[in-house]
Amino acid sequence: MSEYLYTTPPLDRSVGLRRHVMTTSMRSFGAWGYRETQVPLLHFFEAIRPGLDPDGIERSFRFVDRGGNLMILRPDVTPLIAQSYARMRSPAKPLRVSYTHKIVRVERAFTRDELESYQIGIEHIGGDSFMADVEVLIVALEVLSKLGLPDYHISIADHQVAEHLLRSSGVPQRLRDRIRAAVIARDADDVHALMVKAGARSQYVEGLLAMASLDGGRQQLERIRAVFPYDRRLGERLDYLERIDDVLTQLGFAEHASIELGELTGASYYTGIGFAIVTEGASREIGQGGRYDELIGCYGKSTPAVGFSISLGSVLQALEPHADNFFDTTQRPPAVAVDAADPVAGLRVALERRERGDAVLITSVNPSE
Amino acid sequence: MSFRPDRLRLALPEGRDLPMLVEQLRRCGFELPEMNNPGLFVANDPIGVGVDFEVFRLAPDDVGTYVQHGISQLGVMSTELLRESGAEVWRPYTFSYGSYPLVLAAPQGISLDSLDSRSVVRLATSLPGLTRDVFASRGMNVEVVPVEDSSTACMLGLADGFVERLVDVEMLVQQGFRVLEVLGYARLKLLINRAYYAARHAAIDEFITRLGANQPEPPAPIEIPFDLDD
Repeated sequence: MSEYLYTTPPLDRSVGLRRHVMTTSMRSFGAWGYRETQVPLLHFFEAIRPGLDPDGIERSFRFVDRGGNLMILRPDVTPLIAQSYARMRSPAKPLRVSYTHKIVRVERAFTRDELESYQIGIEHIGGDSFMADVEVLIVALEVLSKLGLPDYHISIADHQVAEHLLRSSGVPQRLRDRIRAAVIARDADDVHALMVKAGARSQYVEGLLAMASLDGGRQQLERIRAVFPYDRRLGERLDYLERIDDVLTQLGFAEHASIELGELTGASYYTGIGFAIVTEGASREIGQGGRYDELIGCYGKSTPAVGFSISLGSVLQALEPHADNFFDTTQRPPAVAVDAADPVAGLRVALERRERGDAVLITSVNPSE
Repeated sequence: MSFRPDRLRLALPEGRDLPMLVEQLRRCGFELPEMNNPGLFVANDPIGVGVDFEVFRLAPDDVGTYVQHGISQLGVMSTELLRESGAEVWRPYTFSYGSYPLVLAAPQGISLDSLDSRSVVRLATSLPGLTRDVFASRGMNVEVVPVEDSSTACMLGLADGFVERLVDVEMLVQQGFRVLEVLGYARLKLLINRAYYAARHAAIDEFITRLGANQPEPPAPIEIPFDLDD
């Protein structure tokens, strides 16, 4: 039997740290015009199934309710927001929403499996693709900076480039999944062996090897462009990524964000850029995001969208060693002594201080027990 | 888990490949002892990029966990153990040695057909995840017995055969086993913690370049003792 970790907050400073992460993030989102939204915890499984990531379904919790309906506990927030948007009669465009929600699914934590975790994120729905992609990345960078995370980094990949190269290579689907996994692990030797085994043309072997390389940035884009000089569709996507890289560099974010085409992690509903957020001190990526232009279409009229979320548990793991930077544990509110035998006078003093907005710590004199 | 930025930690797996690894690191510029004892050995800026390396040895199946959690930013691990551990790490370099066949073996006289015709085949292995995946994809009804010493388990009747990395051919033959099938190959890889790469890529890139430039000749491939009567 698996040992699961429930997320009942312990009675220590991690509760304060949680509050710091949530408030800081939501305050930033609000300042960029993202309004907080909520989606239910419980759903009819079949109603939301079309947009759910297959891996997410596998790790989800489903049960039959008293009426015989198959229900699911919220395993991911983005598909639920997509479904809500699709049902709106005349939604605003673009619509900017933010959320902080508990999700329920089996998640690998530091030492054991975790069932409940928090996702904090934003979705930008129905806007111009390029501007929305850049905006979401900038908001993510601001939040990471304000949270005080050590050496955070956003690696930006593109699911269209990866899909285009893998499909055009003629490699069968079964091997494509293994090649994708080898690219994510930057295992160029494995990529080469699998592509050769599948009989892929040398041009595509070169292209996938470039994706699996540790060299990211412009260098990686140019390497792929040189292999496929006449592929217009691929060239357009590479131009698009170059524009994003340009804007982020000019705004001074080059140290914390870069193109890394091998970073193909994240949900299977991503259709354009996809990005992973890592920081030193967290065992797993602390967040991810990407463009999902086909997800809302699973529930209604197709609408392009992009978003990102951070995982509260992973962020806390990275912040915990630096918690003293956020809390001054040496400072305590001034004490007000209250006599337990005659508490009114002392409590009145405490209340007066509170009315003035001052902090108060009651200490009991002559306690009855 | 905070770490000095001018240091990188490198975890090496104990066992058969350790002397070769130490030898290759020495060729790269590391001044290292034989590493017969546990402990951290500090190599002062061995590759000339202003970064010291702390080198230490670990149980081979623990390396991925240390690297994923950032306790060690770099490590060396065999792919079959990495697969079992499920650690999420990068593996950008393959060593020229440390490659072993992953085999299905059984007592001499037992064939693949005779195993396949049984209603349930019981296989002992120290690689339960890999064994389940391989045989599930073939639709073969296999009961996996997870043990550390799988050949003994098979010899004493706990299992009909075993799945293991083939390292010592002579021992396998002496114990009366033969290989029925090669399921794949295990390779020795350099592991990197992805979060630490971003801030230390110059040092890590140079380290990989040095490893590539100081690769020893690969050993002769292992001759696989198939049962020729099969």
